[in-house]
Amino acid sequence: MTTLPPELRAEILVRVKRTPSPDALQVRRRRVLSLAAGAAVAVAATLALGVSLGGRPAAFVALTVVGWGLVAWAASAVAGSRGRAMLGPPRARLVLVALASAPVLFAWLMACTTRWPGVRAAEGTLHAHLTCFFFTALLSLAPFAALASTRRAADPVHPRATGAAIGAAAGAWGSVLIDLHCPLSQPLHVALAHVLPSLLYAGLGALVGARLFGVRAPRER
Amino acid sequence: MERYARGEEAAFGEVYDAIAPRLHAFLLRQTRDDARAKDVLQQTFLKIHLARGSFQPGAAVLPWAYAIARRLFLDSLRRGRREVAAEPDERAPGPDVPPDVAVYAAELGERVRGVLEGLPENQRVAFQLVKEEELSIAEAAAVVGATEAAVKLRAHRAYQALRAALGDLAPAPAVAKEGA
Repeated sequence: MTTLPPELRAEILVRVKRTPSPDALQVRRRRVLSLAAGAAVAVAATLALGVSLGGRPAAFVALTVVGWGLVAWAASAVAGSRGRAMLGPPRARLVLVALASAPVLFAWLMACTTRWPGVRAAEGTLHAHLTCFFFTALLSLAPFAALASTRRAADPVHPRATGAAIGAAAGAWGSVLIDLHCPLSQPLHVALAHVLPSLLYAGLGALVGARLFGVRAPRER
Repeated sequence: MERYARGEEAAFGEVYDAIAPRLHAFLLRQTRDDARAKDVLQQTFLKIHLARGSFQPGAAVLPWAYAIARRLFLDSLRRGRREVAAEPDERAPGPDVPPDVAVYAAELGERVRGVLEGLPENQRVAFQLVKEEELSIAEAAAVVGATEAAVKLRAHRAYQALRAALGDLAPAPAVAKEGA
């Protein structure tokens, strides 16, 4: 083991002392506020868009929303986890969340439509697909910002995978919210407009992951 | 670390004393440039300080600190700071070490270093973390973001490479026992 000079210790302690850093309680408060703000913005946006059954059975909507909500919740829990060693979940688990969230969302909705096959009848137009896609992506923005804030600059091992998982989770929340508004449950429309944004957000999260979630050399203050 | 995370400022010194020598030794093995190692060490502790509020009670500090140190070191390389041509370890052997043993140890150390530097980075780091830093397989896997099976395999391959490269070494000179 090397012996470090006491001057190095003193220098590091001085640098640390002059650099403010929030303690656990402050971080917890900020995190709760951030998540609450993200949820509030997303819900407000959904209410502005309008919540509507649109002719779908209430039980069907409840089942899809609850099921998708569980997927989004599980994805968020994995993506936002720090793990036992503060290094997050294993990369494979994060990649699984990033890639599997969209297919699971789609599979759940299709499973629900077997009970109410009539909901698949209404076909969407290209305009409907694009509009829904746009609004799903928009509704995913606030959850992405909220989840991202909990892992910002905190992943020294696999920031891209973390970004992908956070993106997928945010996209899943967007799917939950658009399901409260859009009456179309045709498979093509669901795949393109409600579920695809989750995959795209996963890709976006992977792209920006290194910059947003990676550990970088601290700047001198 | 938990106390420091809760706001007990004096606890940071204890964290430093507990892990700094190990981190420094690890960084020195990566770069062999003492100034660079100390620079990255400072950055590592600053990052630990900045992230203290996020520290999970009960979490292991060492793998986290190693992972931060390794990431900052890799980033410093990527930013194009040139590796200073490292001087061989010039530490003088202890006064009780016979000269032939000291020479043998120095030559062995140099050959081991040469073999390790020729290995793929993932094998070298796995070997260093498990064998030299004495982290568990699970901790080393967490540091590098790989599975335990992958880390075990990499460390084993590095060990095999060392065995193959050092197989021609003559046995170490016998050291006279005290009182003999």
